[in-house]
Amino acid sequence: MRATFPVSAPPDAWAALTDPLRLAAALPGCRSVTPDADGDGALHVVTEVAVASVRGLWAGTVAPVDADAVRVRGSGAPGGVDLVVRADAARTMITVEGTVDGPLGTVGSTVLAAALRRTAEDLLAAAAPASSPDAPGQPHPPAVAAGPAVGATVPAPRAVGAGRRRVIAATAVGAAVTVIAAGRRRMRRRAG
Amino acid sequence: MTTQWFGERVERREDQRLLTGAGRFLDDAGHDALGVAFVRSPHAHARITGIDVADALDVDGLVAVYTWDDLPGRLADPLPLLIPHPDLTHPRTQHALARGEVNHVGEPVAMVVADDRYLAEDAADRIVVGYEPLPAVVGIGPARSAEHLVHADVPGNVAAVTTQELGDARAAIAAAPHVLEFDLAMERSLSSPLEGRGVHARWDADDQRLRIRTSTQTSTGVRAAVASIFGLPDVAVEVITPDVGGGFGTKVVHPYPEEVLVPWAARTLGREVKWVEDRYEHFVSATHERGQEHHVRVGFDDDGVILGLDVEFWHDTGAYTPYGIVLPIITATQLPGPYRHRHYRVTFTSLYTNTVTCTPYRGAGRPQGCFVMERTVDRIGEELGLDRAEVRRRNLIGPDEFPYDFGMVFQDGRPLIYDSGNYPAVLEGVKDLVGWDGFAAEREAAAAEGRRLGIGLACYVEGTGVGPYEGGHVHVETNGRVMVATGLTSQGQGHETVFAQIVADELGVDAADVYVTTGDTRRFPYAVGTYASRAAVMSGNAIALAARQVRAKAIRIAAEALEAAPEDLEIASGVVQVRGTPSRGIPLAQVAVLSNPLRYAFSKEAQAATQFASPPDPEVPPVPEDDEPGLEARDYYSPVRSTFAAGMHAAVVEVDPDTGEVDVLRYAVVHDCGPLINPMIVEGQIHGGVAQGVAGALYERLAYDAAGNLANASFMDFLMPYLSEVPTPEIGHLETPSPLNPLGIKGAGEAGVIPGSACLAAAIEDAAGVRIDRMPISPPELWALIGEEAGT
Repeated sequence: MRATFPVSAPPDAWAALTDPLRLAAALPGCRSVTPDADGDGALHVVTEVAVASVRGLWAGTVAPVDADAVRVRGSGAPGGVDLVVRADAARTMITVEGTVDGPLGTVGSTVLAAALRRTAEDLLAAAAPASSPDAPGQPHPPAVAAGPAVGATVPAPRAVGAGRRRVIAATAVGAAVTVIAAGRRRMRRRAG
Repeated sequence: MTTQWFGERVERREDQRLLTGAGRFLDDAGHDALGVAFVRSPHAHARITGIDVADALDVDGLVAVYTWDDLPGRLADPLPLLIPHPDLTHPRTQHALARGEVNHVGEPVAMVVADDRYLAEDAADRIVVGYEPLPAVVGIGPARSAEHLVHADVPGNVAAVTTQELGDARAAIAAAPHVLEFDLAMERSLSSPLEGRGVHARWDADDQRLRIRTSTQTSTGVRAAVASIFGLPDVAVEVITPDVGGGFGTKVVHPYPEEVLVPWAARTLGREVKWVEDRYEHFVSATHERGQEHHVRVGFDDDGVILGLDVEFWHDTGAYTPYGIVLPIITATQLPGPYRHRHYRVTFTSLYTNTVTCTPYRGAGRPQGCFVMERTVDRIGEELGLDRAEVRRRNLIGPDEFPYDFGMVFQDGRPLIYDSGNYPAVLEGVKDLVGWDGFAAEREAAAAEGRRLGIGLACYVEGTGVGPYEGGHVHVETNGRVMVATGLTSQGQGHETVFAQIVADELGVDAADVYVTTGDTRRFPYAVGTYASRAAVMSGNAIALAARQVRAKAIRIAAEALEAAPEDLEIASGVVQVRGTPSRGIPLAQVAVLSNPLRYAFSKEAQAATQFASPPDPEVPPVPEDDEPGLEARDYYSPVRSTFAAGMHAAVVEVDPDTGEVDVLRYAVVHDCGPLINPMIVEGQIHGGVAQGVAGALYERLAYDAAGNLANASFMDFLMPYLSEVPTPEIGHLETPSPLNPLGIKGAGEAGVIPGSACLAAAIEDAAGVRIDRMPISPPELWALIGEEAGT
């Protein structure tokens, strides 16, 4: 499959997604986000996925490819995913390319693309108020006082009601967006 | 004493089921199946710029949305061209889902699968398709002028041009003492069966088999298409045609897009999937027919004898040509009707338009051909001041002129040769039935009361029983039931009854003991389909041949058991017996037991049969060479060419000049389809055909606007007549046998509809005194014509 779509989010939304805690909070249905113990920038994600009538737990990794792209791989009841998610330099477009199989592979390419796009938009929107957590009407971050140590699992709030029904397919994209941001920050650090 | 079933008014076996709500139609299957709705184009011609399904994701129960991009392998190719022809230089078929461009309102763009049809519709409503409209080509005029093209790579919108000629028509007309030249047109309509299309599919993962139910006229055609496109073995695709609520031609297309998409979705999702066409979908996606414009030149002598006929016509094929150019070929070759022609030239152009594709609708090009020929004969009579029936009589092919060879090629690619008929007798019959000769007095009497009556007449010849073949399987079970299968489908014609009658006669059993299955590829895998008035001729003869084999085998086995000579045996009332000596007999059920050396004593018949079993010969295998276990046989019938039925209709109408209303006062039909298997069923076919003919002449039309929108795509706006508008025809039969098949029969399915427009146009013209050169005609149109005539 291949899908390209525009996204629009304030710069601090991308920055907030580098925090596994806030990512987990922003991603509906997310069970956990665990930074890889090796510190290579990969994240292990366990989340509920719901695209159309395909539902279930999905577990996978999100690993940086380069400064602008991550590879998302994983599987679960909803099916297997192996996608490269790439953002443009301006962070206005996202392109997703790769294979989806199992039940997720049967919903139709337009459905997958729309689900990916919606998840990316929701995720960025939910992450945006991280810099102003008191903004009304936004999801509250989980009650964890301090940022987790590397290697710790961040428990996520259970998705409920409408959250389940909403399309949260693309954990992949959500996590990927996060890691794209993380990757760029690391790159900048190295550059600095 | 043997009962004769052939020719009897046997009550229809299927009616108990169909009339008490016990029929099993497509939508009666698959209660738990996923539902399907299609997103169809609202534009007649447009480029697709995008498909946004985001809002559909909020519909709880959505399972999938498919567009052309999702279709794998050959499913992404254009659908098959079913009937290629060398003159079809620019064939075009649609993709199962539109690929970047739509060419008619109703073309499927996206397929939505959900937990049920309601949810699928909800999701489909939320899908936003971006369109960039293109100029639409609607109607034959714009198609001919070709200012805009339907398909950018088809110049002039021309799919095909074909010419056939007998003799030298133009020279004959040039030399004729009288020449007339005029235009005639018929509008587009559609079959509109009570039950629309529908497909239900299940992928059986355990058996690795695809089981498809579809409301089709050709289950084997759908099966072959699906197996080929999906790359599955033929035996892995089972197609079953359940009870079908009418087809009238439109369901012969195979495959329709839905017939590959629904099975594909079922296999992809591993779930039962069902789609049932709604009425709007039927109007904009099931095929149409009839739209043609004709230019006629005819030369004739002082007696009204036709010397030369030159016809050019333009056929509206709609957006695609899956069925090739069969329709205009039928018009071209059936236009000559029952008349002697020495010089006939016909040329036609098949034109693309941005409207629903056209394929045969009951009559299939013949109503147009009949309209042209019969209006022409009426014009000759008018020109010479001759009685219209007399002009016809002078031109009819004589009963001693058969076989009559036109030197042309018919729709089946075989020579156009009429096999048999007695047209003058049919003409005399219909004149008597309608009261032709006494009509002048009747008209005068009515005129004295201020009423305007008119009479019309129209003749037709119909090629029926088109090949290449059908088959039949007849199996006598050990319980005495006779199980019969043939591959072609039933749409309510009464096949279960007439095929049972044929077998009952051949096997000497009661028709009630004969059980007929049609349209199930599991029971009979080789078949062509139910169209072209072919089922009785093709399957009827195949089944008769199979039954004859069974009879021969039964007599052979019984002769051995009864120690009698085979030639001394007969089968009567289900018992094989020594002729005239019923005491020396053995029931067919027991013969069936004896036909299988493995005789389990599961039943009384099996136990009883053992008394007849002869001691085994130790040197002969239990099933001898060249023999088979079981009392059953399969056979096929393949005709050398079509057999030609004929008939004539006559009508008396009253026209109200103040309103343009037409009232059909009398309608007479004399029909000759050879020996009648079941006169009641043939008459039923004629009643239905006349109803459809009257509908097509006075009520039904498809109102496309210039942009290609179908303005009357519902039964609120499309005027299907009620029983109150349809006359009950008086019917006379002639039975001229065909020399071409064992039963001597000819087809009867379409005949009733063919001359409707020609006959009523003639009667209306006679009553109203205005020229009728296009059909159908509505009261406002007729009123306007009468007004114009009065004004001049």
